[in-house]
Amino acid sequence: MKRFSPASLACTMLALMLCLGFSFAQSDDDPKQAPADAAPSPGADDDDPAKKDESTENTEPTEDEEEKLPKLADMQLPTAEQLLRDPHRDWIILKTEEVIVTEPVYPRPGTLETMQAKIDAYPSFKGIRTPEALAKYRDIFDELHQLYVVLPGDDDSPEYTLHIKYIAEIRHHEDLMLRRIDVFIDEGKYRDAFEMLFVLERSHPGWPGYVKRRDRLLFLEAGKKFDDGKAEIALVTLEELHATNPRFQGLKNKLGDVTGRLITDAVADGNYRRARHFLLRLKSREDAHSVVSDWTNKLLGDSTAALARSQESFAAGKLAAAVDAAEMAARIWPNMPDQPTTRNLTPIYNRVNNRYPRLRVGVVQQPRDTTTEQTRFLATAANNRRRFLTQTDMFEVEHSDDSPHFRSRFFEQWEPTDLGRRVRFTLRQNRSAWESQPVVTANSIMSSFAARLDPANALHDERLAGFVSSVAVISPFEFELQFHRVPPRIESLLTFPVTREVFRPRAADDNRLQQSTQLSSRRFELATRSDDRVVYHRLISEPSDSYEFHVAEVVEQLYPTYEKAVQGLLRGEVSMLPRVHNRDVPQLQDDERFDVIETALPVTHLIQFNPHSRVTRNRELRRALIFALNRRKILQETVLDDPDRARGRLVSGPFPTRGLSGNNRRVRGYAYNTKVTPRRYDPSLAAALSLAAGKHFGGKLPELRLLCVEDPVALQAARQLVKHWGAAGIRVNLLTADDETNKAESTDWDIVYRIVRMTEPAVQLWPLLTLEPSARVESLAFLPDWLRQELIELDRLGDWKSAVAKLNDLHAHLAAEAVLIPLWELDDFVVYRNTIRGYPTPPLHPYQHIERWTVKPWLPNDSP
Amino acid sequence: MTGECRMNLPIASKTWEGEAPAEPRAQTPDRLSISLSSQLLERRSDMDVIEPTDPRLGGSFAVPRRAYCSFMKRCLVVFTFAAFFASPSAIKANESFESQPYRVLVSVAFDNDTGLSRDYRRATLQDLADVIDRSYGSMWQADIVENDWLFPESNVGLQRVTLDHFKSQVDTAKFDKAFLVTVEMTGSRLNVSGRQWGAATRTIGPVVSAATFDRRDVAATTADVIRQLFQPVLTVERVQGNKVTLRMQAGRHSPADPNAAQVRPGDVIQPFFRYLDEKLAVRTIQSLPWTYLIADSVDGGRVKCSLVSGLRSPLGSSRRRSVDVIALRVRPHFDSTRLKLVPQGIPSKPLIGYSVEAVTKRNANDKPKREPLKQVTDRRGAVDIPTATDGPLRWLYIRSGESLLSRVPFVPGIAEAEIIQLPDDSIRLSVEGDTDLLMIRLVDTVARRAVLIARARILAREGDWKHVDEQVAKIDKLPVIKNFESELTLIRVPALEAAVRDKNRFAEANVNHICTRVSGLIKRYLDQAPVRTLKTDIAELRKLDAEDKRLLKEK
Repeated sequence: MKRFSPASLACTMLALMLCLGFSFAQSDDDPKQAPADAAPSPGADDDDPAKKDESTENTEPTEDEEEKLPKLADMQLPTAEQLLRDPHRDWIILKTEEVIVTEPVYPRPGTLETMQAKIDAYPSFKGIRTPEALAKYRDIFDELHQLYVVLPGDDDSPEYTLHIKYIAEIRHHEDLMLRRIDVFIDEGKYRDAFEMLFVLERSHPGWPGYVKRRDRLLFLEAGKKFDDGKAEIALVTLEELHATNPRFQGLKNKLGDVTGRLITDAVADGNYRRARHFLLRLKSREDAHSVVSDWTNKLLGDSTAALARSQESFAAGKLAAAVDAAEMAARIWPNMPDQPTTRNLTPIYNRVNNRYPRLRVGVVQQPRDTTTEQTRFLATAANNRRRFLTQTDMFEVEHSDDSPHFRSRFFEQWEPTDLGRRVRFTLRQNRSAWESQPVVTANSIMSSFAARLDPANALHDERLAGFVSSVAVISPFEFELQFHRVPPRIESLLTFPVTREVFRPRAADDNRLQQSTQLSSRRFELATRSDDRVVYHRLISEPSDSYEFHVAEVVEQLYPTYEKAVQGLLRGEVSMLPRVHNRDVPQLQDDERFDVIETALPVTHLIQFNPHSRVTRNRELRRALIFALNRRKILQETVLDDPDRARGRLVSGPFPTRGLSGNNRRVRGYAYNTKVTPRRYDPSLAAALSLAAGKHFGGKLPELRLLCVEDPVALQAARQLVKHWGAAGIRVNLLTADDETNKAESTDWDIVYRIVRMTEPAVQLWPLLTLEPSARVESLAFLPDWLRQELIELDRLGDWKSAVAKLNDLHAHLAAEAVLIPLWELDDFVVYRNTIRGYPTPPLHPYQHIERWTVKPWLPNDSP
Repeated sequence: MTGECRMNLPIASKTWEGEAPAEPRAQTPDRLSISLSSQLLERRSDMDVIEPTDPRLGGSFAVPRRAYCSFMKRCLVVFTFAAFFASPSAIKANESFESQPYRVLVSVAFDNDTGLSRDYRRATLQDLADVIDRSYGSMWQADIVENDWLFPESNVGLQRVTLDHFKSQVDTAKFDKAFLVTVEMTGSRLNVSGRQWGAATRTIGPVVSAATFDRRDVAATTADVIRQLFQPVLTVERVQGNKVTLRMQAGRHSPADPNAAQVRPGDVIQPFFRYLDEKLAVRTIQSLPWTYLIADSVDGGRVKCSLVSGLRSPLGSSRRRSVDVIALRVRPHFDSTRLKLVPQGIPSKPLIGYSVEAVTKRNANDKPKREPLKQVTDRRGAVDIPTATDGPLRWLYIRSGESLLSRVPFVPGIAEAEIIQLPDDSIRLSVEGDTDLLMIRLVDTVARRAVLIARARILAREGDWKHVDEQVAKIDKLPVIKNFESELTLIRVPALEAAVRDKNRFAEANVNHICTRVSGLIKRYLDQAPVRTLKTDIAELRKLDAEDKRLLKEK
């Protein structure tokens, strides 16, 4: 162990500095970086007390070699990079204000204090005072005063020691970091400060000065965030500070300011849940804060006022407004555990909601406004819901097992005579209180038939016209149909609404009349529509003296994703989800608050070809498209995205493979031919077929255009399909659907991704293949003769058994001919809050029997 | 001879279609007695003049009494006997068909509107008589009468008239043509409707209507309607290939009004067969389907026509005595004709979704005059063929997909509806479907084989013989020509048997054509030559590879 005087140490340091070209940052006081002058000036001070110490044996510098140590004032604080990346260095500040830069010294932190404590703890001499014992005692005592230092870069030399009497202060590497952190804080560079603080915390948790810096930093950063308008982040930061140091100066006020702003903004947005959330957050930390009491009182006051408005509206008979106000009151300040409550909220809320039940439904799509019959082939689930709510067909499928079963709201009875060639219909002359559609007369029915039987009318139904030879009105509530030939099922012919022709001016400034068709049979009507919701009102209100009231209003609340919709359900914003993603089903099934009901029929995803597209007429190309898809992979990884993978399956046809009967029994889909297996994935065959197809197009396949229904799951799957096809050498471009493109007769697309649910395959297959709303003979021209005639034959079959056999054959032939690409079938689920009653199980449609549903008033009681 | 127009009350006559053989126009002479012939002769004071009252027996001739001798008397008697005892055909041959005017009945029913008074009716009928006389002249011997049996006296009543009812009211033996006309008043509009009955075909035609707002114009309007309804009668004189010469009744009589000409070049004439019994009475009348005669030229009573038909030799070149061929000039009365397609032998089954292309041209090999009208049969198996404005004739091409089932000429608008029977196409469709599915499997097999061959070659170049053998094994397992041919046979044989059983040569020919084509494709694309080449190449490569390895080892 060598002992060195500070002077000899200084020379060694100088030599080292010259060798390494080491430069220091600025000194503490000056934030600007300036290169340190590494070489001490010549003519070092000989009066330096360090030099008066004993010198070493061999390395005692000569007078010429002595150099000065850098002064503390000249030392520059290392930069963050130096502190983080370079080897750690401690500063030993001598009493002469000179600084020795060394490797980290130990113990640390509080090196001098620790050493002094040891010195102080050194016991007095005990024992026989022999010279040896005394010398040993003195050596040990002396040793305790020596600080062991290692100079940087001195690999060969041993440790040096330095008597602590010369040391004024030791600034450890960590202290230097803290100083740099202070600089950052002063400069407002909080991110840099936090980085260093984090490193310090990881390397030396609990270093003295760390907590103080941290708290200060948190506070200042929260303030900055708040000033930058990021109040929520500021709040999180303040809460973090509050958790460790609730007494930090200024914290309470700042918390109040930030929380107050958040609550104000939330209230301004009408998001009371959010406002309450922040309020309760503040309350959980500073219960007595003035912001808490002020806002609690305000919100309670607003809720009470809303409740008063609700009562006034209710008394005035404005039921919808009464419910709006009651909901507003509940939204502003619902009943929460351990919180003050709005007086009479529950009884008033229940009363108005019982009288005017409102059903809130969470959806991820809104119906398109411009849907027409031509675009119906791309009807979304939203369009189908809208159609179901706003239109009542004469006959509707009630449930389906080995055949579809129909029900009618309009007819009391219908009796075939003359071996089925005539059918006399008797209309109902009154309606139940809960029913929402008007009573229709035979004249209205006649008008509907006239439109559909008239070839010049846009509603012309060729199939119906092929069966019906005449319609005769017998009495206001009786009419008779006569048929050219007996239909297999009369009900399936009459699955259209009652309409009437009206004459209206063409435009506001054009008095010429134009004929248009108006729906007479409706359940609900569209009341209002905005960007985030669509509202439907019951067409005919129930009498005010009814014993029980059924759904009067349906509000479809739009959410951006399925996840958000589920969140809305869990939060109580909505009471029903007409469709959920498969992966959310298990979670919701386990939740006792909800009933998750599987629909009677699953939905089928499929790819169809544009009958007017020249490119997709090539059969090799169509088959190449089929073999190029690894449908199992896409189904499992993209579509189902759930570990069970039991709620979807590959299919080989557009018909449902299975369903649920009226008594919830699992039944096999009668039209689905189980002998036809789904095509397996065969990329090499796909490539070969696409090459063969390419020869028809001059050696290179043109790029195909894929139109996709607006459904989040479908769009995701469509992107995967495009990738798979691309891997097989078939380029496909996914189009953004718009109304011009969405026409069956358009040639702006080649293939379309559709989602269908076939309730009656025997009747629906033809329009499905032709992408048209009704079955027209002309539209079958794109099919091969034999297949066309098979479809026509199916349409003409008179008995059910033959129709089923023909459907099974068609399934096989459609698959072989690659007329369409069935992708997969997904079980469909509807989620109802357990406050809803009256829906069928299983439902064929989410809104089935909605006129009979009751919605028990429900207030969310859990805190946000 | 001038025709006479008389206004008489109609008298009832016997009904004569269906149940009883028709009475010939000319009485068989063997039924007449000598005394009748004597009564036909009138004695003049200075001459013995033979002037039959029945103008059908020819013109009169006078013989001076002084020159009258017993020999001449005997000759005259013999001649008279000969005239009466000669056969009807000879009488017919003697009397000129072209000279025979039409015996026409025009029976006009006026509705009970007070605006149509008795005087007005009388005057109208008189005017009509004048117009007809001016128009047709000697061509017609017309009786114009007021109808008192039609009810209601309107278009509706006319529509309801049946042939039996008509024959019960009109003595059809006395007339060649009868026109039933109604005049009804609807507000200030006078609607004139008419139907024609013809002795030649013994049918009652469709209703044609016209209207006028001028009471004075009713007679002219009625005459127009009659002109539209009138169908001149012609007989076939000679057939030479597709050129036919016809003789037109009353052809020698030129109408006073050129618009009343019976036939003009370009007119469409429809032939009928009249089957005669042993007594040469008309037994049945049959129209020739899809056969028309287009008038090329008219010369007096002879009309030269071109034959347009969907049948082969519809008129034949020789004429049987028991078959009479007559023809009527037809004109479209309707805006369109509803044409229904049914399979032969199954009239209740409509053929839906079949393509009907109507091409405006005269002969099958001509170029179309304009863009063809393409339609598809509806759910009743029918299409509406509109009346052509630029020439009455169209050729119909009836297809099931690409297969041409029928090619026939057609004049739309003559009848409101027609039925065409087509050969049964179900066998062909079934075979087409089965062969299509077979072709799909063929394409798959060919594609798979190509992929496996390519893979085997790549692996062979890399020297991965184990996997090469695997690919070759897979190729060997693929179906070959004989597998597909067996399947094709299973399709072909039952179909041919069914076609032969149904005597459906059309189906038989189609089945053979389709199966032969598919067989050719099977042989072409599943030829084993590429596989043999592959195996040879692989064997060579394997040998080379082994040689290389041996040399490498030696080194």
